[in-house]
Amino acid sequence: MNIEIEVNGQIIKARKGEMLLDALKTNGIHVPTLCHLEGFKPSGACRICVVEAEGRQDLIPACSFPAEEWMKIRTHSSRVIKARRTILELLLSCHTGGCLYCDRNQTCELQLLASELNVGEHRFSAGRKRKKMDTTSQAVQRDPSKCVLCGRCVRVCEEVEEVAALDFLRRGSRTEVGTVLDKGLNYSSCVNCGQCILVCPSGALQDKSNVEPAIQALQDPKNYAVAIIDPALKISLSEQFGYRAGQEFTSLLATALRRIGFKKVYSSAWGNEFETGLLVTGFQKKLDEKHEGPLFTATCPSFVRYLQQNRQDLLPSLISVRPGRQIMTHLLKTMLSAQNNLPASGIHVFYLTACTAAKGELHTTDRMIHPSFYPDIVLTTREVYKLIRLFGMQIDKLNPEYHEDLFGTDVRSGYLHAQSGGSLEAAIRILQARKPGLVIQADKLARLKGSKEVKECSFALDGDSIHVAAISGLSQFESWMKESRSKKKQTHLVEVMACPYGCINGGGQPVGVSDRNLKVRSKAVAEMDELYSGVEPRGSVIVPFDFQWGENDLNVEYAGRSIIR
Amino acid sequence: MTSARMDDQLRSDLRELLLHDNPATDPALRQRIRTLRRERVIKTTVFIDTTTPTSIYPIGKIREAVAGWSEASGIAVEVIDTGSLGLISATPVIGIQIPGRARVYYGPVESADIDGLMNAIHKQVVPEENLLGQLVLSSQQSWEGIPFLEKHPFFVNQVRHVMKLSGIIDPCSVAEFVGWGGYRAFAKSIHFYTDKELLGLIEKSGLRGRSGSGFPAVRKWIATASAVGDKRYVLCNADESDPGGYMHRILIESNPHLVLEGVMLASYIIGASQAIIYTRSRYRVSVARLQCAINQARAVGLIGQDILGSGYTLDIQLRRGPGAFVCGEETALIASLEGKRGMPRTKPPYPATQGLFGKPTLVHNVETLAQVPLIIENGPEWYRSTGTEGSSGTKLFSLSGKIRRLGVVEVAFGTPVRDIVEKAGGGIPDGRTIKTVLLGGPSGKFLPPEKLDLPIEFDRFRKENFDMGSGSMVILDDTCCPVSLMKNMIDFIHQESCGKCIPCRDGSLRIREILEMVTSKPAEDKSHAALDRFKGITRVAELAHVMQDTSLCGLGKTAPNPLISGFELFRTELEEHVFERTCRAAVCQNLRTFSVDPVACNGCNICYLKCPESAIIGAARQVHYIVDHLCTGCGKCFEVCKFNAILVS
Repeated sequence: MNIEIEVNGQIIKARKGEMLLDALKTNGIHVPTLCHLEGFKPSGACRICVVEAEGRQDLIPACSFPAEEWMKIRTHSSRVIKARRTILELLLSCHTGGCLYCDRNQTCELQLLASELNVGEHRFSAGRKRKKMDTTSQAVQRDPSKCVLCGRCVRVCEEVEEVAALDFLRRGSRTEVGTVLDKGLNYSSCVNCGQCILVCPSGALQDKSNVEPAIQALQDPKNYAVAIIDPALKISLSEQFGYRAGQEFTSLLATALRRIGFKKVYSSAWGNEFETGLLVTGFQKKLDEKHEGPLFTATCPSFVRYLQQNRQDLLPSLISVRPGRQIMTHLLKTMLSAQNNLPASGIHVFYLTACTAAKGELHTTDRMIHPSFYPDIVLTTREVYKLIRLFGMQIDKLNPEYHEDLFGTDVRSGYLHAQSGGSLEAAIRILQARKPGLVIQADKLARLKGSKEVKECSFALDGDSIHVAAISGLSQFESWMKESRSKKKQTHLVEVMACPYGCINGGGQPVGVSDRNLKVRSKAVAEMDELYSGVEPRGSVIVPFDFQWGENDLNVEYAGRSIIR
Repeated sequence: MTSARMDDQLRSDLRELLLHDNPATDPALRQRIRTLRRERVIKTTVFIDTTTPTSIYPIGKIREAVAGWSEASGIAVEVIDTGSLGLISATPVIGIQIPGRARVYYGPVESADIDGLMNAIHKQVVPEENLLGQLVLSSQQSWEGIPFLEKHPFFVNQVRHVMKLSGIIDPCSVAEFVGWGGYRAFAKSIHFYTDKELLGLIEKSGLRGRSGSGFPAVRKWIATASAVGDKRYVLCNADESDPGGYMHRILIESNPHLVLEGVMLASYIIGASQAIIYTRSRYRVSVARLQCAINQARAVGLIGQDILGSGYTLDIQLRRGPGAFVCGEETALIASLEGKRGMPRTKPPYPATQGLFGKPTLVHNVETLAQVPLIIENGPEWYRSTGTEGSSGTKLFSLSGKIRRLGVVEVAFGTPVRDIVEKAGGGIPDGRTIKTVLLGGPSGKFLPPEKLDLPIEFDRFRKENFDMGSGSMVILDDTCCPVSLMKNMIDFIHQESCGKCIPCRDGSLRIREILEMVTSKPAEDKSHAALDRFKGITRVAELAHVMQDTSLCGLGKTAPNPLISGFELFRTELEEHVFERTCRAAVCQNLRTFSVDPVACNGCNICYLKCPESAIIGAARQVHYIVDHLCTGCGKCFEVCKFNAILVS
């Protein structure tokens, strides 16, 4: 139902019960916000969005006050502007303020807000205490002295991931966002998904920077630097350079990386396809063993970590094959060292990804046992951007080159891994290739595409009905588990990704991205898949040279891989 | 009788009493009631006040003295733990009742007094020393020539409705409460009245929330009762924690069953099947007595399934919070009960529609709920006969600060503040003059002495732009420094703020820092200190207004109240602090300077020995000298000097 409200003397239309902020936004009136997060319940914590409403003594927060009929609102009266500015000044008085040395310099929402509200003077200058940084985690790094206590990370961690590794500690002006017992992230239930980094308005949450080690490793003449590029990174890197979202950067990126000093540049799609082949084999094997309950894919490192920490009962249901990135790293290290007469440690593999949890994965006991399966350095999208800029690459002036072909052919389904539902679709394709009789209608497969959090589809295999589901977001996973248990629904294979939308919205992606951009990225994945539509999926992945996988190399019991705290 | 076990005879007796139309007409029941009320006692009975304020006194020694006397004299004595009469400054209070005679109250009493008192009363003589008065219940013989308790200056101006039984009954005895007519309103309601009728009674009574804003209770009740939900809750906020406010605790510790009955009635009226009383674990006496009251009510059958055969089911639970000031805010209280961090959320939606676990919830404080049984029992007309047109009934206040008689007073609405301060409170001691009254603790405002005749009334207070607060009343005389007090209040807020919204969290911190600068030691001023101080003080008012305008919950919105009213009222004193760097009342430690009067000093050397900073030089039998830059202004020398030789300025 539409109602009318008066804003700054103009009459605008709003839906009844809609929050004022949304109504104002649809009508083109901008009200600054700080703690507001689209798609979440408003918290009303920062009070930056206050507006003046006639008949009320105090100012009301636009983000959490529903529109009522014939409200008279002033969004930019002098009282409002003064209040907003004072609040921001108060906030800045507790902020460390070292902008030039901050990771988020120029992408910081606090900076933007300060310039928008025309803050000119340090009026409340007082004891700014530097607080200790939390560098315990291998993936996410916290700097509490930059924290503005907006609570976005707390909400995301609890509502999207259901991990609740971050929460408020203490009270009054000693309030802080922190972890359990204030012990540091690696001690907490954090799964390294990095979603908190994406929502942080200031530089309080960052991924653990590997840029400096990367430069050193690149410039060390003893190293043979190799890059493996994750498809999810290729489609989002363009946004960092100011190009339209979703534009594929594969070839330009390959050129830039070669100029920087990488000897070889590969796409991880091949590894992903290899992994899917193993997944299908494992799945069929477990089906034959009549495994009870749903089986889970182990592609997402955050999900695996979540199971290890919170749901150990589900670990036997994990189809624990090595993820594509590890398969490729192992292959490259072995292959290139043989080809170049180098020791395996001389091959320095850089994994360029959208995933922060891949950084955390380097800190497992499994790496000590099987070092060749792990890349030496993991760089996120943001870091790759920094690296390219640091080396002075002008991306628009480069000649596009293509990345190295692995074994002469390219693969198709490997690209789909970037998106939630993608690896399932790839698995079904491989299944079809292995079982020529298996026909699945296109509309059924299409149910695995799209931006929904839970996507399900079913098909018939050898007379049995197989039900598969793709879930993104760990809270969705938990609620889906609850629902499927209560409804006694039988599902055979479940793909879970910790980040909503999958890797295209991974924790290492550029910050401050709207829902629209994510849809564009998702479309770009489909386009990339379409580009290779001529390539037939193969029933099995063949390594076309003399290469021996060690015994049990590809099948790893995840339960045995503990995390180094 | 603390356990839930209760003998069947007593249970059926109480049930009979509760369900009887008019027990006063039945002679047998009348006798029973007299026994239950302890009008008739068989043994000598001693009533000892054991509420929280007595915890600093050796109550155990008094108990021993009574037992010792009983043994020595061979007269059996029953000792009953009671609540408080409200007169805290007379603590510890004891009441002595011998069979057939009226009860006499004494306070303050020491264990050494017990023998004399007991001996005298058993010789039918009532000593006058420390006597508060005699309490005559209907069938008792009064003591001649002994003042009545209700004529005591502390009580004479009070209208005691909710505090009627405080200090008189055993708070841990449901039988005594029922004997005094308790739970009859509830028993009557669930059998003979519908919720609509009762809601009508509440509406007619004009009951308003006692938490400060005076919001009409019935509007909240109707909203909760008509909200959509499969379950409803009633929450009783017993987490009172204003500095200077203790009336709810005294009420709970003295008469927990009255609060419980209020909760039951409210639950029945809005159709709640579960009620929760939220208190904090540190309030040990409150927790013990509430828990005991709940257990007893359950044993009688007033809580549980099918209460007294009426078909109504209610469960009441006691929950103990960890202790945070902000958890008195209703949404924070709800969050705390849900097991979350006690932080308020934005309203709307109000708890009436979406409260505990998303269900419609009615939240009231102890005092408001305690009014409900009185309204139902005596009717709205009786209730309206006390108080004023807009604010009916009575209001509890807790007096503290520079006043002769401290305690909890209950006055009818319309009573001027002066009456409370000067009559019940007995005025300011030591011949000092009153400076101001701080109403409502850290979120209240200063009432100037010329406005003391303002009657206690919600609408009148609002018109004069004052806040009544929840009822804490701190009286300040001219030895108090308002700047130091304001600093104290904002310091409390800055510690107790939940940390969610910026204006409250950081605003209170900055204001505190500015006031800290104003009261800093002049000798330690750094280069820009004076400039910072001037700049800061010009910004306090602005900060305070922003806090009022934009804070998320009531805590932040009302936190600057003492500042705003204090800056207006004590402008000269504030300016003295800022410009002249002196504190008129010599309270601010950093602004005090001490010097030695060379004429009065006889060189006793005590100040030299006691000075913790070694800031005093001098030798025996010689005039001493205080070194300014070493002196921290602690005032130790002033305290120890027996010859008034230390001068303060």
